[in-house]
Amino acid sequence: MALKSMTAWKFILPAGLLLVLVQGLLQVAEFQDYLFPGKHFRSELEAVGDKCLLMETDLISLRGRVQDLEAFLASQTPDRRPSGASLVLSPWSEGVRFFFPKFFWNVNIYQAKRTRVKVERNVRYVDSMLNNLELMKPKFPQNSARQFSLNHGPDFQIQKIRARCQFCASEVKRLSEKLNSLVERGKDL
Amino acid sequence: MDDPVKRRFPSVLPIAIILALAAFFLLFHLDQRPFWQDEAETACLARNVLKYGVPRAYDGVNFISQEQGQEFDQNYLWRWSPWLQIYVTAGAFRIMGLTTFAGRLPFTLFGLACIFLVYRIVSKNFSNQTWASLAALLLCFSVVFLLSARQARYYSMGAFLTLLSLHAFMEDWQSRLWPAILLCLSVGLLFYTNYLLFISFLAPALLAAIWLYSDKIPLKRTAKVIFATAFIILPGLFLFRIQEQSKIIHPVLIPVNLENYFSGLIQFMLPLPIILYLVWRWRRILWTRSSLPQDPAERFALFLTVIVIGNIIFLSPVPQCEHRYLLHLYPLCAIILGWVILQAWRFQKFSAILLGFLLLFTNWLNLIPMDWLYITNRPLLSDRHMLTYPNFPLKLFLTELRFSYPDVIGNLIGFFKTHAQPGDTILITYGDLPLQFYTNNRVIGGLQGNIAIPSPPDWVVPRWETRWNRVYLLNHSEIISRAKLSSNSEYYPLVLSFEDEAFGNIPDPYEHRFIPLAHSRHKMVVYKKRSGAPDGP
Repeated sequence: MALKSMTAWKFILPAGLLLVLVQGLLQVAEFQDYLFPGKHFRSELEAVGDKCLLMETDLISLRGRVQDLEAFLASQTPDRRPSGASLVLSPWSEGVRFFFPKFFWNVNIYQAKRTRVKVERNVRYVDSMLNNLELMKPKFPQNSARQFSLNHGPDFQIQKIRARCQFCASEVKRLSEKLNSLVERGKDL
Repeated sequence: MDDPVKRRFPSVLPIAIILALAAFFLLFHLDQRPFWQDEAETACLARNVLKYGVPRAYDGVNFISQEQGQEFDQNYLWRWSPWLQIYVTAGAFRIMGLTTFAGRLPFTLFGLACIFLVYRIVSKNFSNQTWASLAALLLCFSVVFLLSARQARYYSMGAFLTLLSLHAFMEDWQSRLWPAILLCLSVGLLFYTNYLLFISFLAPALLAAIWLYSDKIPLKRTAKVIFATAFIILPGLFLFRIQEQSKIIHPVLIPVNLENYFSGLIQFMLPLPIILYLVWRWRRILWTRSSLPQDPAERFALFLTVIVIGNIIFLSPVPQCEHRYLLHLYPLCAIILGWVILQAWRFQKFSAILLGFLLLFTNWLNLIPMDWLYITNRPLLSDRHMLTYPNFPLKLFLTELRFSYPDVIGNLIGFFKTHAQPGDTILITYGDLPLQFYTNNRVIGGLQGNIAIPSPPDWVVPRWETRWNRVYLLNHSEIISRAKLSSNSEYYPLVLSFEDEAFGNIPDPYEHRFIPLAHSRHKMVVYKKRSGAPDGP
């Protein structure tokens, strides 16, 4: 059995290494541009799209956190009691929220600020990358461009991502104002 | 009978060739690119050491700060990062003058010594010339290590002291005095190089030693060594504001930092397939002590692997997650990789050659399996000629050495040397310290924090990359520069022909550019005060 496994590895190991070697060669910029023109452009476009998606996810988390903080601030009354249902549903977060309100507040504010910076930074990066892709486009050969259908052509995709990016920019600005106001109002907690 | 000289010559030849090659990689065009921000911090403090005898953060014109003025006391005495690198640089400046070459030279020599020590540790303790030479060659061809060792910064010194402590540990320090002294000194000096390295290396090293070499740790002698080391580091504990810095530790960052450090480890140091192989090979050791490797070489490889992993875990609570904090682990990884290639050679020669080629000349084994799993950590603004993409790293490195790369800092220095009057004030949002070192101007801004500006600066340089502080608020220099430029009447823009890159000659593999970008993304814009603009605040 062990011998069989050893024999198998004698094939798997060099095969795996050769696969990495071939993949590596195909990804060297000069080879890639020669063998697969337009592939790099497409992968960059994909990366920008992925980043945009990540930004949108971060925005959802930021929005949720801001809402949580607003609800928390509103519930900070002297006769405050932990809700039984929420204690059962999420004992950890409700416990921290009730017994260590200052800690809960600080951690969430810190996280919200961190996410805000992340989104603001990414908005600029994505915008810069889209400008760069616009510059790369003229070098994009016609036959590869044809592979994109009209609705999925590079122009269309760049415009789509740019629109999403602009939405993220305006949304993070709006949430940022809310966050600043929360920080101000929560000073005396 | 064999001639002993002839017998000795072939054994010395490989390391002699490797060291000659390393000397070329480390010293050729050493001053081609100017200091970037962190190097310039060391250089400016070293210059002040020559002037005042101690590292002062203020020289009567400029402030040196990247932590909003927290690094110095009321007498401007530097009390943030340890002083060893500053005094080493000051010594080099004293001997060779205030030049980029002088600032970097001592650290490149430490880098060279690291390569020799890697060879020495393996060859002396395991009498295996092939493994020793392979490990030294792997380190010599590691571009991240070479870039970091060519910096006027503690990186290579930290790696050297880490290796020296391992070397001393593998000697007979239990009964002989000299290795014990060497152990105390190397660990103690590691503290004065960078206490993050000291803490993150020493704790896992001690635990790994207790686990794997318990028979070699006599209690009495160990207590003496620990006591002597504590005595060496004691003054530093009071001098440097470690307590202040520990306040910026935030537990929520631990998972993110762990993710970043481990992805850095896989992308640039130990490829994922190698880590999987090691995990598979040592899968039983956690459960039964009897399955610990009996072969001393394998046990040492395990020891180093545990140190590397432990080091990352201990580093994770530190807020600033930088790949350069792992630089002292590169030599350890080179030894591990050398050992893995030897195992492959015993198993199948063809695979070993392939593996050796992939590890020495490419970064494909690091990146491609990560690409397959969609877990590559690749900053959006990186491009294909960086270490974050599959490449021949050494080719990129040699291209940079051969063809002078005019980076953003070099271009800015050139611009202000030509266009600014001596005594002009420059407000810049990042990159203040290189300008302080290379020009005769008052340079404010950067990450200095809230610094009084008596009159409107003559120049304002808002860098493209926005910088936030540790609590994710805009830096003061960003706020001030935006305020200054909000009214168009006082300043007019000059769009310069060069790219506004984020850093310059940073050694970080996620950020280092070897060649200029093919398409410019954002040109540098510098604002000049109009001649009739008011001088009041």
